Amino acid sequence: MNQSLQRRAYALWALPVVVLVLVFVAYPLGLLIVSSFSSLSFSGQVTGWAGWDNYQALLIDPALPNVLRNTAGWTVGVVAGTLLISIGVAIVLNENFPGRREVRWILVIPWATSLIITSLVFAWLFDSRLGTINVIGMSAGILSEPIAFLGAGQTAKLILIFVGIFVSVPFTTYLLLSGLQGIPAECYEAASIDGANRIRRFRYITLPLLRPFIQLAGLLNAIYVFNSFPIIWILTRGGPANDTQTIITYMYKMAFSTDETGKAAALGTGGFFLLLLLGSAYWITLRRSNRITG
Amino acid sequence: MTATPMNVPAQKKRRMRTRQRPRANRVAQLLGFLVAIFIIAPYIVMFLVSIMPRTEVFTPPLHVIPRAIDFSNFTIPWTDFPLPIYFRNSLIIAFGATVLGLLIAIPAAYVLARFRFRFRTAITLTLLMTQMLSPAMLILGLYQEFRQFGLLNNLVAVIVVNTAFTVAFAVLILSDVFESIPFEIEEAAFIDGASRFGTLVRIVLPLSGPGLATAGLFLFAQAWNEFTLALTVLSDPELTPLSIGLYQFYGQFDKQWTYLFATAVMGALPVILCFMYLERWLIKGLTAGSIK
Amino acid sequence: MLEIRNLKYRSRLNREGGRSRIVVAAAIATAIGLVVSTSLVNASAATKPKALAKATIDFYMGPYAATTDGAMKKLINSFQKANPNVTVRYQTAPWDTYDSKMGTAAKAGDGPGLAMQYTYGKYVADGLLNPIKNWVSPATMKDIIPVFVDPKEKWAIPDLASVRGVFHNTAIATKAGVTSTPQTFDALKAAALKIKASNPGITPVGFISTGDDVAPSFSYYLFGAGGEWIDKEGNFLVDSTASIAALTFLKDLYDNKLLEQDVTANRGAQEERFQAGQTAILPTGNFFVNTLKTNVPNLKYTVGALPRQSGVKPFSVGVTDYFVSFKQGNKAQTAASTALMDHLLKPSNYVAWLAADGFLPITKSAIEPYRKAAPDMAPFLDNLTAAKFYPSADVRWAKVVAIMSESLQNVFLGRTSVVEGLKSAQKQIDALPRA
Repeated sequence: MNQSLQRRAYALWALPVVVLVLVFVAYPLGLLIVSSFSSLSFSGQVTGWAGWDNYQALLIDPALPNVLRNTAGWTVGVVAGTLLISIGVAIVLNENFPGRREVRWILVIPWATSLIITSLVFAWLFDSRLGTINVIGMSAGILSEPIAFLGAGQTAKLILIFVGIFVSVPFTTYLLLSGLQGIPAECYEAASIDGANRIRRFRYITLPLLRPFIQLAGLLNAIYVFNSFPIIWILTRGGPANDTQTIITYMYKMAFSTDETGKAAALGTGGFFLLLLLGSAYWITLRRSNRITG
Repeated sequence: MTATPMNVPAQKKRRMRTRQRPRANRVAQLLGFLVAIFIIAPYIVMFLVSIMPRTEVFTPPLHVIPRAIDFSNFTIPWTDFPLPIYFRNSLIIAFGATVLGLLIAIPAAYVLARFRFRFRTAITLTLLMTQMLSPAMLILGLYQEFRQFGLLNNLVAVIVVNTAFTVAFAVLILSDVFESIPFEIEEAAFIDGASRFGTLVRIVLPLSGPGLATAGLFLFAQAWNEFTLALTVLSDPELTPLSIGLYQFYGQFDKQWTYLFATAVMGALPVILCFMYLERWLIKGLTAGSIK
Repeated sequence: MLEIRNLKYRSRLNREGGRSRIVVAAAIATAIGLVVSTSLVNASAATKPKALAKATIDFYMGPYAATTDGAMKKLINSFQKANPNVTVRYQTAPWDTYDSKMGTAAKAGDGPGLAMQYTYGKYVADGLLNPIKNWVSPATMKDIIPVFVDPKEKWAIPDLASVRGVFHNTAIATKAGVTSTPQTFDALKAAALKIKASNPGITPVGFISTGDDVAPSFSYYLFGAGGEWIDKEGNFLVDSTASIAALTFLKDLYDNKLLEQDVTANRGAQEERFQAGQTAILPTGNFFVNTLKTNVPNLKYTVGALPRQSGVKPFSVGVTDYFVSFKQGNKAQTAASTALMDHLLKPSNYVAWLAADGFLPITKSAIEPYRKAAPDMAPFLDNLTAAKFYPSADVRWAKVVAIMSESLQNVFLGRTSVVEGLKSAQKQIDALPRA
């Protein structure tokens, strides 16, 4: 009896966190959801209950399929690319070589620098006429005409995904590196005694042991990338013609540029629940598969 | 396999390390070098622009290497613009969020690591959910809330909100780190009459250096770079942090690239240096352990 | 650098301590006040000093130029010195977050007492604004230049203006053999072709297809083709014959690579290209003169009129933003807002601020002083009377511009034809709810 009371008392240690989150995250979220069901005036005042009107207006918006497709493509592209590259970089950084520490230091830079600054740097690099890439290309004779990197839909998407990967690789690499360093060297030695070459060692030892880390990195990255705002907003604003518009940039545009606050709230709410759904599904399948394979 | 990498007893690890020093891998060295160049190249370009004289930036022919060097881009923001105020405010917000975040994350993480109780999964999931939201998404609601409670133009309120959005990650990292510290050590202390709180402070925390460093670093970096919330609720020019101040060089027209990049260099440096200093602990601190 | 705050002033007074000192000071002040006010009783209405009641107001001003911030702080300082009971909280934000910042405050009931706004229609629709008859002094109303006066306008007065002209890079034009600034659409195309032939790799004509500047950008050619944005009943005319003619011309230029090919390059980016000699012809505002002087003082350029089709009268495109006032809690705040605006519009203050920023005044009293202070801008000043404006005060305008921007981009990128694109835009615009 005494012990379980004591236990519950310790549960209070978690209270500050819970209260903080309820007050400053849950409450504004509640306001957002309520707004999505309210009719909002031009400048955002709540003027009554609108039921599903905002959602209906959102669903008939001709830009919506594009926005959803772009969000999916952007998220999957960045997460997949980040994981692939990070595994490679982590393996390299797990090896011993002179200068390893310096490389790790440099890897930290995109992570520590604010997203806005990094996005501005890439805006400068990829400007369709004055950008550094174009300047170097033209003066080296590789390009006869500057390339409008961000002006055409396809190249713009690729550049955005590239920047997204660029800023996500450091964190993911460190996460995977910590996983790699936990794999005992004996496992590898035993395998090579048995005649396994590098590739087999990788496939049958490294990858399975790294799996929990890869899964965690995938989940966290997916969440961050889904909601990522500065990169797209600074580089293309969702253009050209909504080609690179994702859920969060479109929501921001509707809320602050074109005064469609009700639709914006609906999109924001919808986006959040979509992410929640996908994240939960991912989490559940993760736990299930981990339990099966141990 | 449920054995956590970190649970491997310390002695065995030491033996593994010193058995043979691995040969320097030249291929890895080359690859590592290429990666480093690729990563740092954009920032070098940024630095080059920041030392160009203002009038040279757009004078043809277009170029990357500066023709003349002008360090006044680094000094003018301090004298002609309120950069000291920006730095001061950013430091207040970032330190505040870090300290507050750690203060409330540590007990919560400890409880999640050591106890099994009813709300445990609920709390973990809630924390994960907060990661799916950001101040940018909830900005209208946040402003209304601030106004309701009279919290506008209040650095403390900004500190608290920053913490609210980033503390989840700190709790997740720290709870895993705490979990990997063998409970036997604490048990031994209980026998000697120590309280939970006592073991937390005197035993668990000292052993969690890497984890604390990682969590603290995250909290600091997030708060230092936070933009949307500060823009909306801090309208007093005395309270503007660096993230906003920097953006003012990037007006939609007449962007002042040289000042922008110079200030960006100065603004990113503190966080970068912190990361580099604590880099070796980052790996240990990020051990997510086995995902329970 | 720091504003004098009401608090500092008061605490200083308290610290100097001694009730007797305060009484004496008050007596002297009253005496001076009586003398001053009686002697000014016969002064003109514009300089009547009235002691303002205690009030705190928010004041928003956009970042027009690098010099705006400093100029505003100076003017607010002088205003607060002259009106110690009033505290002015000065706010600004970069353009792309400016409206959202003010909007967030307005939505929560904290609308500023005086604000520069460029899209205030939505605030009118929600009843948040104070009509100008309640807060703009009669003297100021009379001082506004006629071209800006709209008797139907109830909510805002202009704060400043810019007039658009076409900037031509002299070196490129000379090399291409273009000797005079093109006056017609055909002449523009001919000049562009010559420029492209002699300067491959350079964009002959700049055009902005993204952001708020789509509005003036398309206006140049819409008005040049003799068209209008909106009719008297408030119907938009984006699929009118003139509009189609304008876009057809632009599309022709685009297809022949004579027009800026990057549809996501905004005005700032294209102005940079002009400065770098990568764009030869760029229509933009008179404020660009100052930018050129600061950044590339050695660049040679000329400014010409906007090209038009035959039969269309000469015109220029003017752009104004507006001063508005949100309904305040009490009369003292409204009075403070009025006084602040009058202070900003006082010719000596107004001209100094505008000349540094590169914008044009909207008051008659400021015209001559401005001419003296900014001789570079004189030609633009003369074009003010023939200026045409687009309907930025309409509550639908922000969405109209967004729709136009998308249509233009889709047409340029070849995803839809000129007629289809404009018709689809018209349909979307017709469906927008009016105030």
